[in-house]
Amino acid sequence: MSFQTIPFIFLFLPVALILYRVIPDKLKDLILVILSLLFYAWGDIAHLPVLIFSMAFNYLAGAEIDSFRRSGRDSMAKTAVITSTAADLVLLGFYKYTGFFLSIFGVTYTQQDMPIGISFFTFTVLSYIFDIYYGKAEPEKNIIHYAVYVSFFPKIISGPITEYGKIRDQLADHPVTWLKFRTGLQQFLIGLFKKLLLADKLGETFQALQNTGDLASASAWLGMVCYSLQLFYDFSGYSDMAIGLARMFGFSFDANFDHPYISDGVTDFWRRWHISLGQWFRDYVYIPMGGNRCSSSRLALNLLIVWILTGFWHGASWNFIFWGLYHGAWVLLDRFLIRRFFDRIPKPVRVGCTVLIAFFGWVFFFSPSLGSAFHWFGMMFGSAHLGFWNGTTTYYLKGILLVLIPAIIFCSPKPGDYIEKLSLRDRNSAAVSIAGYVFLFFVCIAAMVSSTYTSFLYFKF
Amino acid sequence: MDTALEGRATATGAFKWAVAVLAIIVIALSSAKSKLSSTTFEAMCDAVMAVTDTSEMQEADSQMIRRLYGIDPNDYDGAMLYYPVTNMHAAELLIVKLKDEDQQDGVEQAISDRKNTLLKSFQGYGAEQTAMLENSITDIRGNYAFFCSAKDPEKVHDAFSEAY
Repeated sequence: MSFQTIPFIFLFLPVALILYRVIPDKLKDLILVILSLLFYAWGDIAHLPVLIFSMAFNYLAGAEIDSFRRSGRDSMAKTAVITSTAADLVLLGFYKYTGFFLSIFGVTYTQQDMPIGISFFTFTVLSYIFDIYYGKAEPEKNIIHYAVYVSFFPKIISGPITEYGKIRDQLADHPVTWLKFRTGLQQFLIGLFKKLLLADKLGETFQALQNTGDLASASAWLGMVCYSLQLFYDFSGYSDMAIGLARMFGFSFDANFDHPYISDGVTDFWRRWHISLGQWFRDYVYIPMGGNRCSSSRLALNLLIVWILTGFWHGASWNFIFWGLYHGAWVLLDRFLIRRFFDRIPKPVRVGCTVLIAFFGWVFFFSPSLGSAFHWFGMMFGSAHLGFWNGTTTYYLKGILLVLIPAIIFCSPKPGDYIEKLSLRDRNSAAVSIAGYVFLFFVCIAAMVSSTYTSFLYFKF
Repeated sequence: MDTALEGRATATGAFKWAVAVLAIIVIALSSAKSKLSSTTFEAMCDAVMAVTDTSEMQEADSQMIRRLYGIDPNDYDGAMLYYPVTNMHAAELLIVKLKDEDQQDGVEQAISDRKNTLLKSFQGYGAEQTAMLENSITDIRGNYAFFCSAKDPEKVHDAFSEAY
């Protein structure tokens, strides 16, 4: 089940909210777990046992690591964390990477269906055992609270990946206030708008261009821009919906996106894009390897390892590894070579260059193979011999312009800040703001009903 | 050192690995059975159609599927066919969701017959169409059957495999 579907909005969510509201306090978290498992089963009942086993295994691993630590057997605690991590990665690898590794040796293998959200819930349970091992948090004594942490339905399928130590206090106490509920609902609606009215429309144009075959340069550039904006609005829309839903149940999650397309450097971009994944790799891979408190060569190696892993996390193909290396190389260049020069040029130029680097990177993301990625780059620079601009370009640009303009404008925080400031000005403005959200809801429902369902792009990860 | 705590840790660790062994058994058993896809027919069609260029194809109704493939869509959990807009085209896409694996042979034969018919009809004059049909992909897998003749059938097949 996905957030932007009629059954979720008109059945699952209202029932969940009402149940959560009317049930006695001590049963609220149990209801959340049941609802979360039901939500997961609705989308992928075949793999529900995998999720439950993963939860049980890591709950026990957390208790084991904590007992060894407290009994002074640090080496045993280390062994427990290493073997448990290995088991989690074997499970992830079995479903996600077996086919890729076997293909390197020329073995054809039909990859098993991947459990929905396995990359996300595996990183969630790893955070649990790492935080216990590093002493950042106590293990959760209440198994229901732990089950909410791992399986909470707004984040189980595509994050944000919550770190246990940062959210532990909320597991025991997450009261729903009117303010939280209202702002959560607003954020959910904004996410719905981003997904249905921006991402899906941009996706239609990108898909049509991708299916066209050879393209004139401008069409290939348009395809790249449409996909880059689609990916941003698709995933940030999902994250907004997830964070908004969590808030409606009393949880406060950190933002997963912070206007990445106004970044003025690649490092800055990665502080703003899929923030929860970046923080996970920083806290559990980069810093344990020494972070930046080491020699320049070691630092470069650490960064490259993190970026290869980040690429590989997204998918089992050379494309994603290359994409990870591509960004790793830019982060290294940003850090060691071009930052000083970069800081001297005007900010709009810096932002433009960063956006171009990010957009070029997404070509590896959307292409089915490395060869087709380079073919797309070739078309952007005229390899199709169809000229710079042709009728196809005009046709698709005209069709998407009314979506493309707001999609570009909303990359900046200024329009959102301005709207929020206006809504807080006086009582009339607040009423207009509420009416605006109601209108947005109906427009989104109309879009949902009138168009075919499009899954979130990050579901496949 | 606290031996009681250490003993508890060891016991918890043993229990943890018992859970892991149980998980391996359950996953192995379900993997052996899970040759069947849980993807709904509609989701499969959406995933495949999202990457398919249908400009040279039109959607077939049940009667047309019966005529061209000799199979009755009512016998299956779902059947979708896009066939050429004119006799001069060879782009075609068929997705069938089978009720059980026993239906595989019948559908495979139907696809093979249809492909041979098309190949014969273009023999001698339609070099491009013949090449397209020769590059077509047939994939009978678990509870799904897939046939695609297109300029880039790999892309469509990848979408099918991913959604399977």
